[in-house]
Amino acid sequence: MNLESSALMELVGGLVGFFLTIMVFSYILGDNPFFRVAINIFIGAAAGYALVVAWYSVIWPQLLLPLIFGSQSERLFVLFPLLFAGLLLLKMSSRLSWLGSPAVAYLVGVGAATAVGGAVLGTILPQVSAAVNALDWDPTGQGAGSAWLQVAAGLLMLIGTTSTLAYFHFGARPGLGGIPRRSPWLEIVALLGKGFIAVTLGAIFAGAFLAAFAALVERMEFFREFLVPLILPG
Amino acid sequence: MSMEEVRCPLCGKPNPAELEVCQFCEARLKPLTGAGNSELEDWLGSLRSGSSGESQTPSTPSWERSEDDSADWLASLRKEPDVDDGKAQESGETEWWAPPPGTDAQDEGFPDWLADIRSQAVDAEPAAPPQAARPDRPTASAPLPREDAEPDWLQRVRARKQEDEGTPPEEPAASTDEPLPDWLAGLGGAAAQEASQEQLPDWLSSSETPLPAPGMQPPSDDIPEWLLGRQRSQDAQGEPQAEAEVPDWLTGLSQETASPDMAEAEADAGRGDQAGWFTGLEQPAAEEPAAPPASIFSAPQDAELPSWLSGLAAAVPEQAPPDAEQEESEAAGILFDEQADGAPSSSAPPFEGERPSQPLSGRALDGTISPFTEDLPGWEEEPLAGEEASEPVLHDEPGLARAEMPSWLEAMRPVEAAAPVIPLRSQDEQKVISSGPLAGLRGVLPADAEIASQRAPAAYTLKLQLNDTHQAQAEMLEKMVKKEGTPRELRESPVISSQQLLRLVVFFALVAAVLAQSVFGLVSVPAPAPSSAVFSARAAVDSLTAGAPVLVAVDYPAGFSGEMEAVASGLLDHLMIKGTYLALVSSQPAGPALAEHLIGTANAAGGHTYNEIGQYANLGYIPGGTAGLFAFVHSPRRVVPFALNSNGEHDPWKTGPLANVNAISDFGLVIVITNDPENARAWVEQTRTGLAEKPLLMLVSAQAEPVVRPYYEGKPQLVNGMLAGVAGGAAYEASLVRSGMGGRYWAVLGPGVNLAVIMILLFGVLGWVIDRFGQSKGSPSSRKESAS
Repeated sequence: MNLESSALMELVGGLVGFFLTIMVFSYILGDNPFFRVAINIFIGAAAGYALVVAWYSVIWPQLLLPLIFGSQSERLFVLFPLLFAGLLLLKMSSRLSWLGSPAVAYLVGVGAATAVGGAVLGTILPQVSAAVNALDWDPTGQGAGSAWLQVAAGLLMLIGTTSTLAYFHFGARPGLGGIPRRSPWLEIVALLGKGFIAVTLGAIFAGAFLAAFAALVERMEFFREFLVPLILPG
Repeated sequence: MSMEEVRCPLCGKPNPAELEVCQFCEARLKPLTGAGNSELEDWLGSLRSGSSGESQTPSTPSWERSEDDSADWLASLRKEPDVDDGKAQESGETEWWAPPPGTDAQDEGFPDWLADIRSQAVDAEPAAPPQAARPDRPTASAPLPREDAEPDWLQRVRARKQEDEGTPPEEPAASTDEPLPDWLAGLGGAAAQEASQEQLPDWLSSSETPLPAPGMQPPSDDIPEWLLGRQRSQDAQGEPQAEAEVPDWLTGLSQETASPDMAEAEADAGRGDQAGWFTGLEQPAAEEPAAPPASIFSAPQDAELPSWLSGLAAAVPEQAPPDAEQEESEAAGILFDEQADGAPSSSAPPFEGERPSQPLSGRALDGTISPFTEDLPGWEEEPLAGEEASEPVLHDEPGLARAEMPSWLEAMRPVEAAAPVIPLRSQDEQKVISSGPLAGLRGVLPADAEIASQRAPAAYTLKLQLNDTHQAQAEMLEKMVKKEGTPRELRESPVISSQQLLRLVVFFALVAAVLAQSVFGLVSVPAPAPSSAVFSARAAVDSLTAGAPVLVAVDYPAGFSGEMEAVASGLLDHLMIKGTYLALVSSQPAGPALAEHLIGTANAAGGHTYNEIGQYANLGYIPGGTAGLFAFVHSPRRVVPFALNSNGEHDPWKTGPLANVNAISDFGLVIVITNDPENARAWVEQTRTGLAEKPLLMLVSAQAEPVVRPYYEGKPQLVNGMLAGVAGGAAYEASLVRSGMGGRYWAVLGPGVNLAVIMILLFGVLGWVIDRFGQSKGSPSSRKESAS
């Protein structure tokens, strides 16, 4: 590939990217065919690329290659996933879909066990420990002032955690008129937790906005890098 | 029940008084009484035609035909016993039992065999009617024989009774000139003078037809075949043989049930005038001193009896002889409702439960009320006491009709609910049939009583309990329904709406700000100060040696490539500067391509040449999600055995830095680049236990920072360093004092974010002002008001 062809490829790729970006931006006027075409192209390209990746990363090297060129033990090892893969394909048939249930059950069971185990050991227990350790008085670490701030942060974290959990406590007893109402002190704590939740969701929304704005900046940088050389060559 | 309503005697439901038939069951409400002679003629004519079709035939003797069609054999029921002859004749009515002219009335209608017996009995013992036996007893409507025509057997019974009681026997009525009791005289006189030539129905003639005169040939139509045969044989032999005239079965019956007393036998002979079926029905009444059935014939002892009759005769107990007159009158009363006073008789007849205590005919006979008058009888205007007691009282609300249970619903009711509880009524409480052939009988058809005794359905109020909220909701629903029905003008949608215009304004403002800053660099934006997380990340990278294997997980979609590349480019530049060996993996299918693009971006930003398999290995896609990550942590070689950039010639797991890597803990550093908090959490949860003391860095999007940061700031620290968003990347580059994508994007992003914040505040205030003070129709407040 010489330089000209490479430049041509970059030009064609740049034009495709430019028009696709304009088509996606057309959504600012509402749903329109240009936006749909761009989205369909993106989904189709992603699906096709995923299929290629699955073939070259999973099916061929991990299933077919050991089955064809592998040793006896490797062949026996891949028989089990091969059988389950075949049973999963039977899910497409309404009459034989029940044969794929064991494979699905295996996948769901293993996935659930892994997720639950990781959540308990990797998130719940460490976070509980972190919430407890936030109130650990350690004046030797970063000085007295920092220790007081650390305790204050720990207290704030404790209040936030407790109030947020209280907000999701929906147990109540029938009050006046038969309308179930929580106790007044629980209402106050829940209101405080509601404030913490609002701050958290606001931070997440701000992060989402920053992420989206970063994407816009990236596209504008693309425009600048693509159009400026075309408009102002040299 | 109001006065304007008449309760149906059959179904018990109220009906308007003017109706003649029930509107529910079509039963006749007003009996065919008192409608005049025309109606009377109709149903009686049908009765005649139906009962005796032969009565209109030419074979009927002329003396049996009625000269006046308007006369009725039941007309005598209406007449008082003391009606004189002249009045009867003036009314044009004739007695149906009147003998034809020139014939003996007492013998007419009787078969000759019976007439012979009667003649013999009269000759032997002339009987006198018991004048004082029952003077107050109302006269029977049945055709009573005249005084001189009283059967001899009856006279004998009375004589025997008087002998038993020690009273002197009454003098027989030897002459008709002897004064009779009023009731009997009137009856007899009326019967004698009102003897009609009207034809008698067959069913009555079979039992009540007077005996013909001796020597007179009765009409052959009135004589059964078997009697005719015997009569012919008797005529042929020329001597009367009573025993020969008696059928065998009757002879046997008389033999079996013969009483030693001849009077009893003759008393039963009176019943011989009655229909045979009636005699049989009268016998089982054993609770009263009924007379044992006996034949009027002296049957031979060796006569054969049919088996069914033998059994019947054997079941008859021998009891004391009843009062013959009473039995006779009761027998006639059953047929013609002659029991007028309603006084219980000493001997209950077989139809005791069905006989009325106050029959209509009885009231007619005593001259008070005639059943064939136009006036309604009292029982029809007023319900019976038993009905009032059994019928539940319903208080119907005005304007509401009483509900009726559909038949299908009634069929679905449980049997216990549907089955009425019918109290057992005594004889006096049972209702008297007022019309039809069964008129006068009591309790024959108790259907009305059963219906009346059923429980009426409970009445439920139709008023709904509505409060103000319900009414408001109902009004709202009504308005909505009405609004849906009203046509509305279709508004032409504008080419571009105000909302779209606002979008365009915001979009072009942001684009203009970004382009202006990117192209012209209008505003100088300083790089953000590195945080402790940035310093921790840098320290982790700084601890690496050249050629140390570093695992880089590229787990973000293509849409976030701009942000994530800006975050990671500075750190990758640092890694390339350090000369580490990069092993790129991804848990997303598009990850390997994005990893290649990331390496190219880092090369372009830092001026590196990381292009060969000896510098990095794109290990590709990790299938299986969380389970795949778990497997990769413990056996990376098996999960991703090949490198996508090796071209099949170089196996990174056999040669190079990855040759000594058998678990994730063998990597010098693990870096996760993701935009999704869930992916970050999955990597932390699955790899933390396998990493041991090796550092884990998180390069996350700005939107994932709130979720990932606790893993970094918590104790124990699960994430050793973190770069969040473009700011984190710019801060890392600033810490390295290098320019890269992070710094460049941050220079553009900063003013744009500030502009966005300003616009958010501005439009927020503007929206609040419009909502608070705006009067425009399309404002949210006005729409809310219009909706309410």
